[in-house]
Amino acid sequence: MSGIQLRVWGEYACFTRPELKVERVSYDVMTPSAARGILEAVYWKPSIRWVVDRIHVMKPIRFDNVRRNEVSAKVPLKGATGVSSAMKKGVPLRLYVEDNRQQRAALLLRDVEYVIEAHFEYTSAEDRNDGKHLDMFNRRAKKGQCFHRPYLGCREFAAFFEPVEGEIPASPLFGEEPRDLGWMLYDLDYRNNMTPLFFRPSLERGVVEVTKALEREGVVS
Amino acid sequence: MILQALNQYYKRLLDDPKAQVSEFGFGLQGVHFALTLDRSGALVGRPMDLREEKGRPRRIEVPGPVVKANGIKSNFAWDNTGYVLGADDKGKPERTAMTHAAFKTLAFEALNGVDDEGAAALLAFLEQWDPERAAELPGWEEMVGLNIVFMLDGEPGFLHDRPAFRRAWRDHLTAGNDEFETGQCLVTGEVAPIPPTNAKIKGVPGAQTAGASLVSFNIDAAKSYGKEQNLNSPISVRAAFAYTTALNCLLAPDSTRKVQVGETTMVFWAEAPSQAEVLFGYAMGAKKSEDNSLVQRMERYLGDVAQGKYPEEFGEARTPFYVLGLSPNAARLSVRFWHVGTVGQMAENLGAHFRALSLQRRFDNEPEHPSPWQLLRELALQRDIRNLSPLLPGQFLRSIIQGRPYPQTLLSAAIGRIRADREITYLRTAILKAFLLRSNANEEITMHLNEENRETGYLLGRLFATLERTQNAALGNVNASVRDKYFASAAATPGLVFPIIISNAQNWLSKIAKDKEKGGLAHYYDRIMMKIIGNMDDTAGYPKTLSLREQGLFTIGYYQQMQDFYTKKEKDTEE
Repeated sequence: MSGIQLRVWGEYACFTRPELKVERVSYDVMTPSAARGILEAVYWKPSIRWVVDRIHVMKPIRFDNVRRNEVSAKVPLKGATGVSSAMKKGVPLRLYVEDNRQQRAALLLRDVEYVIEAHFEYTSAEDRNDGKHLDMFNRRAKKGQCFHRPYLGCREFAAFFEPVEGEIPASPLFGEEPRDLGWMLYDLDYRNNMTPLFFRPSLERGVVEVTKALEREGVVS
Repeated sequence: MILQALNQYYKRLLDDPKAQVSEFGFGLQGVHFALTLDRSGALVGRPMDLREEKGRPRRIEVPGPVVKANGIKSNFAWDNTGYVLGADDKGKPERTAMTHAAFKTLAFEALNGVDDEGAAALLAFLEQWDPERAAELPGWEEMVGLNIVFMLDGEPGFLHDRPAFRRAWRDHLTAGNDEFETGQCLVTGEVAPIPPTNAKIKGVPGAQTAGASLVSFNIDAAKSYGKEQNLNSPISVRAAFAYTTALNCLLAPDSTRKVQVGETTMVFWAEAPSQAEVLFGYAMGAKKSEDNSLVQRMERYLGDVAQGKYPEEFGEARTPFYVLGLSPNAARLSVRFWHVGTVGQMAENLGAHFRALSLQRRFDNEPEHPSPWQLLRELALQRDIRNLSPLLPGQFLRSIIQGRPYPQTLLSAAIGRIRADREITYLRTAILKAFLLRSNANEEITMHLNEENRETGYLLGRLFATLERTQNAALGNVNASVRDKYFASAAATPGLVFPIIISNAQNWLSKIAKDKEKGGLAHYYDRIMMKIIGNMDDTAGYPKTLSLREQGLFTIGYYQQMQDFYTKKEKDTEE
């Protein structure tokens, strides 16, 4: 299957660790599921699914501390103020920021750049045309088209993107010793009660070899 | 990575006989009293008071302790009087009865079929005990509501420390884990039972005294995909125990691997035991040791490190070194920074930091290697660190640890403080020097006065110092000296201020010249001023304004010129 290469960058990024997501702390590098989200924002159809092969880290990993005002509650599904009654009775659906405001600290990544290497797989027998899907992705990426604005882990950290043609330049972290990134969220198994799947990537020559790490772990994508 | 590193640290501590960490299922808890039972389960003698002076409970290892958020959860073979004896002073008899029942149930469950005379005694006691009788216990008034453990008459040690009890508790725990859902642990990767909550972290000032959680999902907004509690972030029972125990050990009251700066609490550890851990704490202002030889050793290390040498006692330079900054947020802890480096890098960054700071001291009792806390205090209103922006300490520490330029706010805070109270101290000047050196690689600022430095800001600072000395020589101590009146404006807008002072200076110089004793000084000061002015770019005149960087240089120039006057004077008297 032929693949794509997309360069993404932004001022801030937060690939939140699940264990530290209230007072957020980011993973050191982009997670495959965040990369998939970016690809889907640029081009996606029900007949394909994106599989992230490799993530190149193109800037040194830098953390920064930011305090943000967030809310502590979600709009409930049930109850008088929930989604169900809003749909049935036409009650406005709302959450008052003033009542639920909380200041929370976050340890974010600063000034990031990645190159995502990925390919797509088909989800059914229909609409199988490699060239069409690849062209559509690359054309859209080149023009800066997207279905929704892609982001780096959190919606407020917009991602800029462009396709990379030809060879991907070497990462500035190329010369560093391999770094174990610990167990990292790979994706959620939506068919199986939304169970989180973890894998153990390492950063070698500035590249996260997603597929290789998955094979080593035996995680089925 | 944080939890993984803590998990590994726990393993290191477990292997280290000197480090007292609890094995899985046990933990330290403050306990106040011990009751003694005889073999038939009857109480013997007075309850033993375990408290230290000042009434603090003794910290001993007990099974558990369980996380008590709300609801009733009993500990095994120890707890507060409400649980153990079914009597307390909370005024809720029904609840107290339930807590006592929970204690009994747990004890009977865990000790079921255990062949041990201690176990038999405890069970017999629980069967006979009538909560009404609690009030008759000697010293009940003092004991009510506090934690209680048991002892067996004539046997050393506590009941819960008996091998049979420990074994029973471990078995009980393993059996109890079946209630938990299983999942893939994100620390170890193994599929294991996931406890709904993790133990609390104690010892971060500003957080709740009962402890705060590093991993918690106590608000709706934190839950994803309809998952409850820790199923949002699966951490296995063992990993959860390991990371909380390790972190609590780092944060323990007598820990040398913890430093408090502002509201940030910093803990640090190396993957293998190393003197570097101790030095890092020492340099960062951890609890100072009473031990003089240790202090001397640390000063030697610091001196070495500041000269770019690597002390042998630090061991392998490639050993990973971790620094974790935590700050409290009510029931939660937030991670302020997390740094993974090596012992070698740490020594290098620490050295670079102290090199940047190095400045001729004003008094010998001033610290040669000031801690971040001492430095930051200088920048706070009334030298109270609480008046400082809460972000600054964290950023400052991070830049030291990572060897990066200091935060910009450090410069404005230092200049603002000097402008407000006109105290140009050694530490403040050192901060300015370090900031300028680190933010600009081309900056050349030396430890002592540098007469070759042609920077306008620096020269103006020197000039200002000379003018102040001249005034002092002419008029003695006056109510409002040039420094009191003009320092802030001279640093910010020299073009407006210097012409005024210089014209005053002519009067001071002629006054000194008339004085028989000090007459020579007039010539001396005049010559210095001429030399400084001669170094300035005379086409431009005094600049209208100075940037923050130049104001920093101004202060350094002022300080160093002053120091130079003092030292010269000492030399004169010696001769």
